[in-house]
Amino acid sequence: MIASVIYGLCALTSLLSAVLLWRSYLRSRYRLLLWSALCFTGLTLSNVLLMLDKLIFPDVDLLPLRLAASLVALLPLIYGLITDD
Amino acid sequence: MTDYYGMSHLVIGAIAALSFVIGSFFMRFWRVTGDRFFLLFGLSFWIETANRVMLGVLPAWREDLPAYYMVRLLAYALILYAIIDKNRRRD
Amino acid sequence: MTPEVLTEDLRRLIFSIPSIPHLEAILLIRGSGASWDAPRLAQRLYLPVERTAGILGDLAAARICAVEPAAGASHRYAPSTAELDTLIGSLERYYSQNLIEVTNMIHASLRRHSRIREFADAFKWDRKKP
Repeated sequence: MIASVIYGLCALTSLLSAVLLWRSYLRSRYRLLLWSALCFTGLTLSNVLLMLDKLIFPDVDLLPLRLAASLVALLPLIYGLITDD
Repeated sequence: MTDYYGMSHLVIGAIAALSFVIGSFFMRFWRVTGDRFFLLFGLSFWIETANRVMLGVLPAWREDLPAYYMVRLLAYALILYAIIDKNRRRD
Repeated sequence: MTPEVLTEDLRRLIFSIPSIPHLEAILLIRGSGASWDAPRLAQRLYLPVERTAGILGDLAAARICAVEPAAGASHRYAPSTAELDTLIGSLERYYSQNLIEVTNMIHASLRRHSRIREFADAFKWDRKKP
């Protein structure tokens, strides 16, 4: 129970970060913000999947899906950080 | 060759490695700008790295463990604090 | 006159100043003791009004200046602490003695960190200057 609350908080935090990053990207078009926004959007999704996994679908294991989401989420940020000039 | 647990470990390892590199970038930004916003982000990603590594290496460390999600909460709390801190004192 | 020392606090203050016009605005408003609004500041600093409006907004947010509601978006010098005022006094003296160094510091932090700073600025929730 408390785990779901904590995962919910994590989801809200990454959602907030994603929203702030998208807003700034749309305003300034600074590339790194796009990659970061994509990353935090993906992390939000992965946190939401985590909540769903623990709360709504206790018998189905969403682990592979969640792990894939987390991994895919990090890729744009890594790319953006390395190629930023 | 779909080795379920092997695959999970592979992906967890990849997540740990990428989180470590991302954290390192933020640490560099912190060193360069002195803005502790980046320190907090760097620590957050490094804490998640440690969490994933332990998940893969320590048999006792599991997702259901309260300690696991407390560490995760700590990582996200740092990001939250970084955002609040940045908006509280603009100088 | 004894040369002003560059303390750690002063250095941090200088690096936190976004641009030379910001610095000039601070010293101008502080020295005049009067209230300034964006058009008046624009005229004095030879800048467009949008730029000075942004500068005044930044100074108010940094609690170096305060808005006077009666005088219609006019700003007067109102540092949040006495230490800040003392520090700005040191800044003024140091700037007058080391003009080029301070200018370079502000420009260097701008050039090197502008992109990285943009990332951090994305997390501010009030509107950035476009």
